[in-house]
Amino acid sequence: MDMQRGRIGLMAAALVGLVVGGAQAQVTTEKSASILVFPKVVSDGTRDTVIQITNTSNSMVHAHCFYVNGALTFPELPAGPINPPLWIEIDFDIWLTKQQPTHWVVSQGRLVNAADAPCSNNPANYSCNDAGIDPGRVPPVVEYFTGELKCIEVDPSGAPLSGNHLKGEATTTTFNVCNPITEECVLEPGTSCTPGGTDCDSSIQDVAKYNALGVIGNENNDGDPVLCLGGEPTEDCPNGAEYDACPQFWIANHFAQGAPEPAIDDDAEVNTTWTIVPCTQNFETQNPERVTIFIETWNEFEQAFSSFATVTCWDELALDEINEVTFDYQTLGTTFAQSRLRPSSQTRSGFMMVGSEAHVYPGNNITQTADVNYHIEGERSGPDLITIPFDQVGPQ
Amino acid sequence: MRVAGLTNGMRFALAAVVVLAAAALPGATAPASADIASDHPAAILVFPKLLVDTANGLDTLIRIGNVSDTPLNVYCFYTNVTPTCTIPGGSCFPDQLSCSAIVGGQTFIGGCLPQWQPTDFIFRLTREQPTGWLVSRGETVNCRLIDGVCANGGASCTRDTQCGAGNRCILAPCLPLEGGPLGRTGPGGQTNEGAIPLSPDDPFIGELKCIAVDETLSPIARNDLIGDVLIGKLASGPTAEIEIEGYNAIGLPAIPGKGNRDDTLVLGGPPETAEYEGCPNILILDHYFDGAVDPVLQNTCLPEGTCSISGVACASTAECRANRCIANACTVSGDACAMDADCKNTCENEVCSLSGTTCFEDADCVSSDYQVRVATDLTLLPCTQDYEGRDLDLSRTVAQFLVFNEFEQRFSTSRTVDCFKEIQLSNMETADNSRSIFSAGVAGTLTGQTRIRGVVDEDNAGRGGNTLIGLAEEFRCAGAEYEFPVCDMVDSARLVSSSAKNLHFQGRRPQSDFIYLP
Repeated sequence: MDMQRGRIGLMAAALVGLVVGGAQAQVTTEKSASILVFPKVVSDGTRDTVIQITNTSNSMVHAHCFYVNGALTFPELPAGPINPPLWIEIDFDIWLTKQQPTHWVVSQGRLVNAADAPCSNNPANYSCNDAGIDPGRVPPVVEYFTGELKCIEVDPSGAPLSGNHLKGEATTTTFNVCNPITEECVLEPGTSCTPGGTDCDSSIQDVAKYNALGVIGNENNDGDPVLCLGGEPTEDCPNGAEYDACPQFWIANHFAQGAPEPAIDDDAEVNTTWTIVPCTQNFETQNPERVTIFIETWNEFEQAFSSFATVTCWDELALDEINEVTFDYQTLGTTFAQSRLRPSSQTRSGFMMVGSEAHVYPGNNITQTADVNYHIEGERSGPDLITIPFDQVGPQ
Repeated sequence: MRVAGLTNGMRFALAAVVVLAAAALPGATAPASADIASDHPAAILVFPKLLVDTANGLDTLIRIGNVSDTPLNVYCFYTNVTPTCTIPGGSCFPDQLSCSAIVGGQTFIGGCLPQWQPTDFIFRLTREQPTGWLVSRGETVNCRLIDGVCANGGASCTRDTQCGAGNRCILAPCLPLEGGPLGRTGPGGQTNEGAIPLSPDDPFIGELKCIAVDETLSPIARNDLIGDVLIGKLASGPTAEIEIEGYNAIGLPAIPGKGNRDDTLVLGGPPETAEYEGCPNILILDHYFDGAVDPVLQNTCLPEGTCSISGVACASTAECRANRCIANACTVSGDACAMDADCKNTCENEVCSLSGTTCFEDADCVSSDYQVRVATDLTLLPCTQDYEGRDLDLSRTVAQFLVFNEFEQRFSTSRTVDCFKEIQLSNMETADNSRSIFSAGVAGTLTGQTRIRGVVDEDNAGRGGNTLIGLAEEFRCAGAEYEFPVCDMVDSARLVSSSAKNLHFQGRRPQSDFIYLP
């Protein structure tokens, strides 16, 4: 009898799921959402990141956030079985009053201090980094952090909520210092330097910005610790998709590696980097998710090339790291290329990504960067699961 | 609800019927929502801001791609909004001060008249094809016989290897699959057709709109276009500094099966008439308040003895922030000096020595210390545009701004958008940036949220919905604390770095917007 009732419930839920699923949208970079993913958050001595998050509603909003450090255990050494990503997560809560924007510098975090001086014209004070209603105690990241930030809208008890009230941006500032790993100036590639020396022109700075990727929540969110992104009802996801699915395809319009970049000068070049994080993440078991990505690249002559990339937990991949040949200007034969990326059929997780284009002027080797939000097509059929430790969901 | 006398099977059947009935309710089975977005393929692409000033190394690169496996014709409009100077030979670029003439030793400043001048063109993208062009150069076909030029010299060439190692052959801007007996064709015999003109002016500021059309140039409901923009600058002089910023084109998806393929494109509004998704009811911009000091870019003294941003020699971070006299010039303000005291902004005869503002005591003069501060430019466009009748009244829209700081305090202002508005936030309601509600000194916090709403004009009923779309650019400007940051890609003397970003959207409105094609 109980089994029968369970079957009926599951079938009804499946139908409900179909109905709700029919109205699914996709991951967005322009609408308020219930989960914000900042795939590229870096604070490693050469770069720092400012996070901006805003509540777009007229009521207070709470969010549970995770920093995930995807840095290698030994950052100065190549990745490998004995040098895996750290996959160390720390979490914290923020709450925003109606329509409140907030921000913090990830290397500094944000402390709660009602006495922070506001900006003012008289007396002149325009340095007011901490002014405003503090969103909670935001911890600083560790000294070498290369990873992601994920913020999930929750109710006052801490249970996930499909409010769709959050939007965000990340601003990455790069300093032209000596990279201790490559011993090259960060913004003057090819210029060798001594760490701590005076070889790099410190007056060169670079700022780039991208919109956080938003995952829109659906009405059937049961508030449990397993967040279901897309998919049909399953044992883990009895209500089906609690959030919109991860994309099936990411479409990136980009330069071929080494192609001339005429916006600055015909001699300039562009180096494109993709930062990728899996959609499925288990913060309870801390098992790093591995995604194999199939990439089909079209040149301007309608010719297609293919390659693969594998990402565990988090990675920032230059195109020539993925494949030295496929993305090369000499191979592609055209300046512009269009790459379509999808999870391979053997991979159980989708992925999220942002791009970064470093434009290098060979006259003086100076680099300036523009971050890119890529295009999305279709949605994955299977659910991606974000699992929050159960004791972080509910009253503390 | 408890229903007596039903078997389990009947209960299941009833439950299924109830669920299916619910599914049949209006809206329950609505097709997947495909709102206006810059991250999804669409049938109309809007590139809100293009800049060209080749004399000063400024240019814009358009990238556009067809994501489908069938060719697609694209019908585009450059809209030139470069103001025209009333003085013959004068220019309003970058601002009205450059629209001047010297007559008899006297300088006369002319007026700058707005313009809205569309130029249209058509080209074809083959399947899955990406391409791109510089706005100052355009792109065409039938140019295979035109030799290129070696980048390092000027010798003619047809390929890189003819220019020596490490050098490039710069070919004429040519669509990739130009066809013909000498040109290249795609694997399926597909070719590009048409041509992309170069910008109608140089300097040029304007907009680009591209619409998916069929072979007869009728609009077609194919959401297969993606696009993005890079605005780049190479500064002249020994430093040869470069700057780059990019944003995605805003895509307006067509609603499958709804287009009547006439010359009036209906964006949003009543479902029975809408051919494309509507423009958003509200635009949301997260921004730094103008004049706020960047929390990351601090000019500190590095261990090697140079300031981290200004590059001046230092012994302490205090020296990097102070306006010091080195080699008879102030390190921050650039004023001539004999000693450090000359670089302090002090009150002398009721005028601040460096800033020139009125004062009664030294405390009234804002410090001349070094700071990197943020300024944001906003570009707004009306969604309704009349390329046929050029009725600008249809596009004119009052934009209402609600501004929230980090204290949850709200301010508001408004501004009329005629056909294109590009403005620094802190000039929205005043010429005195420091007194604006968008300035950090007034708002009190580093960042804010601004919600922008186009006001419905009842006179436009049935002809325009008065929604807006836009783009934001963030500039970091170095200088003395008393100088309000006003740098941008054109006026880049104080520019440290720039970035552009797409705005967020919220809601739709019941009124339609319209694009009237010739």
